[in-house]
Amino acid sequence: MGIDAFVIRDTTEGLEFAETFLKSPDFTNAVLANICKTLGVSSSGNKEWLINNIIQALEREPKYVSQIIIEQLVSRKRKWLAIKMGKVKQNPECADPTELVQKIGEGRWYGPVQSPRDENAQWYIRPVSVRHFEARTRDDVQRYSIRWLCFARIDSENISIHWEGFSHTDLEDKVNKNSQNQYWLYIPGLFTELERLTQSEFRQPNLQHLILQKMWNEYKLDKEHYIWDDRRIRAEAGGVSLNARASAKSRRKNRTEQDIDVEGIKRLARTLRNSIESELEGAYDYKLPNPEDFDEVILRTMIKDFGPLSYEFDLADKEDELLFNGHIFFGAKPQQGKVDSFPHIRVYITYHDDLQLLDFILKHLEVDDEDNSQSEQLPLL
Amino acid sequence: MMKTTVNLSNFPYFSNPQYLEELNRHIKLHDDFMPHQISGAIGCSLKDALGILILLYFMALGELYLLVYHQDNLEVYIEKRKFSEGHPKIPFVNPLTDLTVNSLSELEYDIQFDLNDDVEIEFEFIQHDR
Repeated sequence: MGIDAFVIRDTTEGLEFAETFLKSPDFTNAVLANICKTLGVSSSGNKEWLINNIIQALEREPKYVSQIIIEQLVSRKRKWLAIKMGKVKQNPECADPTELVQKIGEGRWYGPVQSPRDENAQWYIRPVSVRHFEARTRDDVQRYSIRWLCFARIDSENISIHWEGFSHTDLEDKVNKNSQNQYWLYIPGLFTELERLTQSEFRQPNLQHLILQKMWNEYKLDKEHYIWDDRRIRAEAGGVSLNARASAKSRRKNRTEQDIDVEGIKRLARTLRNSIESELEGAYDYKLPNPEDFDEVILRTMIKDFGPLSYEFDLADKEDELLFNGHIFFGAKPQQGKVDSFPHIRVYITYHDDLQLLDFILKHLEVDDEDNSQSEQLPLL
Repeated sequence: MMKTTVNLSNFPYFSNPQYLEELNRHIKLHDDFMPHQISGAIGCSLKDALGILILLYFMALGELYLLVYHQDNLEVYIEKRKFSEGHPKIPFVNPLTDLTVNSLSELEYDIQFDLNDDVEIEFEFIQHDR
């Protein structure tokens, strides 16, 4: 079974390592083509052809080509990000990131790197070693490590960590069962390292306030100018767990007003309302005034009042320009060391871009408002 | 029904009348509350939400519970205990899986405040001169 991460299967360094690295899921064809374009070599062809061109260039000019590889790697769109706020006192000088092209590197920060698609910030790279088991034969299970790269973006008032998710085999006795990388065990610790390196203190944003109050009031209630499509809600209250999710196939460009009305979680709300409306009419001869207003009441109860843990939605303007497309994990249970332990966002990069989404979020975050920061631990637990 | 007024002057977030109104609306919808539930509904921090629940507990308006979860399934709790009783005694059988829980390290926790049936709360924000 293929692993969507860079598995280190031997200790080779140099060009052989670089070739394995370039073949790994850390690089898409588009990133490899961009590297070739920047190097002025042919950027058309399959992945093997592109890698071959890059390796030849790397052999001739290792330092320069490594620099280009790292810059393009940093610039790649990523699916996950977490943000913290606070004045950054110092941009640290860390280890040389070009080392990571031909060596496995160490568990420390590398950079800064300037990203060609983001000139307003400095980027840093942190390799994290994650164990992984593979069965070579039925009785021969080998332990390897995955080099998982996390990327930090630092500007004067915010810091964000961006990463790719992957599945792997974490337990020796479950070699055929891949599970999600437990990124929640690592990301909060990486922020702590960055606080130390930058000699700064950062606060977690209060995403409940940002999304369910500020953006909700500004965009969701303004139906004249915006289209807000509820995609998924995970919630828990009163001993009941709720996980409602819309199918992915309905997310598309060029939607019409009519499509939106019956899609996503709203469809569930409408079904519940239809059921009550039908009962009221049949049994009590009572007709609901403005029935669609009741859909909104049901939606608000499901999304805001039922203990939201995470919430996914699309936001577009009336010209169908996508403004937001992500799944927000509120960090609602900081005391439980799992997926809900810290605020972070899953970005759907097929439709959007982690930097566009970050930019949109940062524009709405009130950096200096202490009330908008979130506790990292609940004192009683 | 006993109507009780609770002053949130120690929670500056609720100086905004809109948030106070939303909290009063929310408290009428439910009879039990977890910190993330308040935070999600009103947008206040989890620390403020927990503070409000503790305040209600110390005003004897309800009971505070420790919700016990097993780390393999955090979706719903497996036991609800009075907070004053502390952790569950080990070992015990997980009622969701029928498997024995042998160590406290297998468990995670949350808090829930259950409002007394005969209580109706109205929150207010009034800062008194000192």
